Amino acid sequence: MVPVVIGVIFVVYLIMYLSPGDVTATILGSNWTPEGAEIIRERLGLDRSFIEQFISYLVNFVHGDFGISYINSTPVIDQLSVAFPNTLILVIISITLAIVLSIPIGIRTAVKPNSIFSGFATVFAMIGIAAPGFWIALLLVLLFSVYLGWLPASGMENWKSIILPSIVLSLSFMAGISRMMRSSMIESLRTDYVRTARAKGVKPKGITYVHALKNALLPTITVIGSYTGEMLGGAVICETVFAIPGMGRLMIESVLSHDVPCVLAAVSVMSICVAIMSLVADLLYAYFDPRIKARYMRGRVSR
Amino acid sequence: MNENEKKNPLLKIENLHVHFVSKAETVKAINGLDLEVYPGETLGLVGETGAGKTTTGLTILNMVPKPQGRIVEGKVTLDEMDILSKSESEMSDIRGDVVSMIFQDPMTSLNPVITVGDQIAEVFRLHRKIDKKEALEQAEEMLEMVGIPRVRANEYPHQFSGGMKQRVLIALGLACTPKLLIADEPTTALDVTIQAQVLELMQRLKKRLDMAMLMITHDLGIVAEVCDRVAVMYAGTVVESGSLVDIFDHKRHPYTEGLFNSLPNIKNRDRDLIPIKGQMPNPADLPTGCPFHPRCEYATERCAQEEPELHWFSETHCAKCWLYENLQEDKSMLHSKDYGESKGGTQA
Amino acid sequence: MSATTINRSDITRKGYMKAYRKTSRAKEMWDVFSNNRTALLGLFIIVVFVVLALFANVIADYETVAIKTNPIERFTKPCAEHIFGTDELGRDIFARIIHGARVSLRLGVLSVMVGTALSCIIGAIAGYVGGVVDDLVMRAMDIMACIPRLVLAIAIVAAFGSSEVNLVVAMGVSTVAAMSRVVRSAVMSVRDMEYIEAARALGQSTTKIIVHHILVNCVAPIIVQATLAIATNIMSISSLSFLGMGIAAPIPEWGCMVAGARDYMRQHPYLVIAPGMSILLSAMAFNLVGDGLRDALDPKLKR
Repeated sequence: MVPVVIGVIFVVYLIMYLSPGDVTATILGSNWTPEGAEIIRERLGLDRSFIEQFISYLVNFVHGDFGISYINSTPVIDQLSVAFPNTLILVIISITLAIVLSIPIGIRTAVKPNSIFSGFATVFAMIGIAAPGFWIALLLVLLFSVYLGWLPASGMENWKSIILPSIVLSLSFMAGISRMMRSSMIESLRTDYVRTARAKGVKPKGITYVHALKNALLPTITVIGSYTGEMLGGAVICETVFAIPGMGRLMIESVLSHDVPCVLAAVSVMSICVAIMSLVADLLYAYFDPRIKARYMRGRVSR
Repeated sequence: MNENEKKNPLLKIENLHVHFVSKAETVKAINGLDLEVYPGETLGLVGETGAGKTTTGLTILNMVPKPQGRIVEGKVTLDEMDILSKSESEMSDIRGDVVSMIFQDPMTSLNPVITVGDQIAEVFRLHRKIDKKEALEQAEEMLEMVGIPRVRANEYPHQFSGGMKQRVLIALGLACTPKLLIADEPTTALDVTIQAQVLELMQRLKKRLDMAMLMITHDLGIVAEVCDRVAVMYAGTVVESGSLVDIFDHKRHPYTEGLFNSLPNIKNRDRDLIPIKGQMPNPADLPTGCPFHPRCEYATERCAQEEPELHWFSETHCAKCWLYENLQEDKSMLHSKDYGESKGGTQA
Repeated sequence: MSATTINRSDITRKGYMKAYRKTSRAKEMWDVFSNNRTALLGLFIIVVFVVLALFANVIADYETVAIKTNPIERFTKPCAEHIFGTDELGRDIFARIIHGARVSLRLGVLSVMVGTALSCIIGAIAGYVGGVVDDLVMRAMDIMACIPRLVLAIAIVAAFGSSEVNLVVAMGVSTVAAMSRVVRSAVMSVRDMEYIEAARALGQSTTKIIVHHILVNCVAPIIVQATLAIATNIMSISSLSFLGMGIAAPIPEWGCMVAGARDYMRQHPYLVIAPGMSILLSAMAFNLVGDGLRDALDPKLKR
C-alpha cells in the first residue's frame, strides 16, 4: 500500500517534471524578468536535482503540505479541502446507486435469462457502457432542467443538484456491474454445489439468494473495486458539466492555467483514493471468501 | 429377494425417455428405461460413462437441467408419488427428505463460502422446521455419525480433504433419513484406501437407517461389494438386470459379458483382456434396432432393425436381447462359458 | 481397377484433410462469430463508419464544407439538404460527423496500437522472464493502475501539450496497465508448453522465442482486449476533447462538437444529438465486436 502510494506520486511527479513548459513564466506572467525567474527557481528549489526535489515533495506531501498554488498563491491544501468532500459525496452516492440497482438487475437477468426484462437490461447495458458521460449529462440536463425544470443544471447548492450528476456517473457502472453480476451469477447457478443444494431441497429463492449469490458476489466485489478509478475519471467530466467544485474540476482548471502543484496534488490524491479502494475491495473479498480469509489470517498475504 | 416381491417398489421408473435438445442436435440420453428399487435394497446401476446413469439419478429428483433437458415420455413413481407431475416447490419438499442424492465430485459439491455445519443444518431446517440452534446441534450429530469430530462443524469445505468432504456429503444426504439414497459414483474421485472407508460407511449407515440405495457406478468391484441387485445400462436403457448372482455368474446380455471380459481377473492372469470393440454410440445419433448391435459379436440382421424386447430368465433376471427369443432352438449362439451353468435358471 | 479406387480415396482424403485444416480454426471462429447477431451488428456499424471515413472527402469536402464557416446558414434544422442540420457557424453537421469519424477512428486505432505494442513488450518480458523482473514490472503496473485512466491522460496532455501525437501516446500509455496484464497471463499460459521447451532446446534466442512462438499464440486474447480498448479510447479521446484538452476546434472531433454545441443546446438541442450518437454507436460497435471475438476465440467462455 505505502510503496504503491509513493510510486503513484513518483509517476505523477515525473510526468510534471518532464513537462517542457517554464513554470516561472506561469507564475510571473507579464512581470517576467531573468532575475525574477532566478529568485523563483531558487525559492521553489527547482535548481536542485530531480531526486532531491522529489524527496522533499514527498516529505511535505506526507505532512499534508501540497505546495503553494502558482496562480493564486494560496496553499494547495486549502483548495483540496474544499474540493475533496464534494467529489467524495458525488462518488459515494454514485457507487451506492450503481450497486443497489445493478446487483438485483444482474441477479434477475441471470435467473430469467429469456425474459423481456433481461432483454431490456442487456440493451441498457450495451448502451450504458458505450454512451459518453458528458453527452448523457447534457441530454439529462436538457430533459430535466431545460424542459421539465425539475432539477438544477449546475452547482452544488442542495440535495437536488446532486441527483443528475450521480445518475450520470452511476450509469455506465451500473451497466458494467450488472453485466458482471449476471455472468458470475449464471456461472454459480451451474456449479455442483448449487446442484447439491437443490438436491437437498433448498427452494429456488434460497438457491438464488443464499447459495449462488454469496459466491457470485465475489468477482463482482473485485470489479466494483477496480471501477473506482474509472469513477473518478468520470467524476472529472461530471463535475465539469454540472459545475460542481470538486477534485476533477479543480484539476481541469489547474491544467488549463498550468498550476502544476495543484494538478500534482489533485492527481495524487485521486490515485491514492483508488489505491485505498482496491485495498478495501481486497479486504471485503477476503471477508466474504473463507479461503482467502484463512490465508490472510495465517499472514501469508503480504500485500 | 422373495420378500421384495411382496412389497411394492419404492421407486418405479417406467418407459422413461429423456432428451437434451440444442439447436444443433438432440441428444437422446435415456431411451425407454425401466427400473425398480424396493425398500431396503441396494440396486447397482452399472454402465460406461455416457450411458445415462447420472441423468437417471437426476430424473428421480426431477432435476434434469432445463431448458435443454426434456423428459419426453415416461413415469417416475417414488413412494407412491408421481414425481414428474410435481411442481418445483413441491419437489423441494421431497428432495432431501424422501430422496436425496450424493454426487460424483466431492471437491466441488460443497458450497465454499458456507460452513459445513450450516450446510448440513440447512437440511434439517428445510424439512424438520426446527430453529437454527437445534438444527446445528443435529448437524453436529450427523458429522459425528460419519466420523468427523463435531467441532469441525464451523469449518469451511476448503479445510477438509476429499474423503472428508464426501463424508460431509453423505451426512448431508442422510440427514433426514430419506427412504431412497441415490449415490452417483460416490467414490470415483477418491483415493483407493479412502474409497473403501467411504463404501463401508455407506453400507453401515444404510443398514442402520434402513433405507434403499441406488448405487450408480461403473466399478463392478463396488457392485459386488455393496449391491443386492444390478441393472446394466447401455445407451440410455437397461439391457440386463438381475440379482448379484444372476449378473455375476449367469450373465446373459452380450454387453454385460463384454463388460466383465474387459476386467482383469486376479485369479487368472494369463487370460487375455477382451475389450468391447468400438465405442459407445453417439447419443445424438443412435443406431436403429438394438443400440449395442454395431459392437455385438452375435448381432444378426434383426438386431439392426428391431429393438429387442425384454426377456425374462427367472423372476429376478431379465435381459433385452434377441438372442434369447428362440432360446430353445438356438442354444449354441451364445458362446459364453457361463451359459451351461445358468441353464437351470432359464427353465424356471 | 482396385488401383484407381485407392487413388481416388487417397485424393479425397487429402482434399478432406486440406479442407479440414484450412477450415478448422478460422472458419470455426467465423461460424461462431457470424452466428452472433449483436457482433455482426457491431461489425456492420464499424464498416459503415470506416466507409464514411474513407470517402469523407468525396461525400463532403473538408475545406469547403466541414471547416468553412457559413453565417447565412446558421442553425438550420435537420432537412433534406443538411440531414443533421448545421451548427452555430453554419457548417453541415453530417459533413463534420464523417470527418470526425476519420479523427476518432484514426486516433482510437493508433492509440490502441501504441498501447498494445507497449503492453506486448512489457507483458511478454514479465511473463516470460518471471521472477524478480515479473514482480517489479507488475508492481509498476499496479501503480499505473491506481491512476485513473482519464486522469493520467489529462496529466500527460497537461504536461506535454495537446497535440495529436501526445494524445495518442497519452491514451496508449493509459491502456498499458490493464493490457499488459492480459498479455502477461497469456504468455505465462503458453510459456511452459512443450513446443516452447523444444524451441529453447534447439537453441533459439529468447527474443525470437518470445516473438515467434509465444506472442503468436497469445494473439487471441490480445486482439479481444485491443478491440475493447478501441471503444474505450474513442470515448476517452472525445471526453478529453470535450474538456478542451484533446483535439481543438475547428477540427471536427465528435467530443469537440458536443462541447461547441453545449452553449446553444437550449435553443437548438439537435446540435448535441448527432455527435453524441456517433460516439455511442462507434464505441458500442467495437464493444460488440470485441465481445463477439472473445466468444469466437475462446470457446470456454462461450455460453
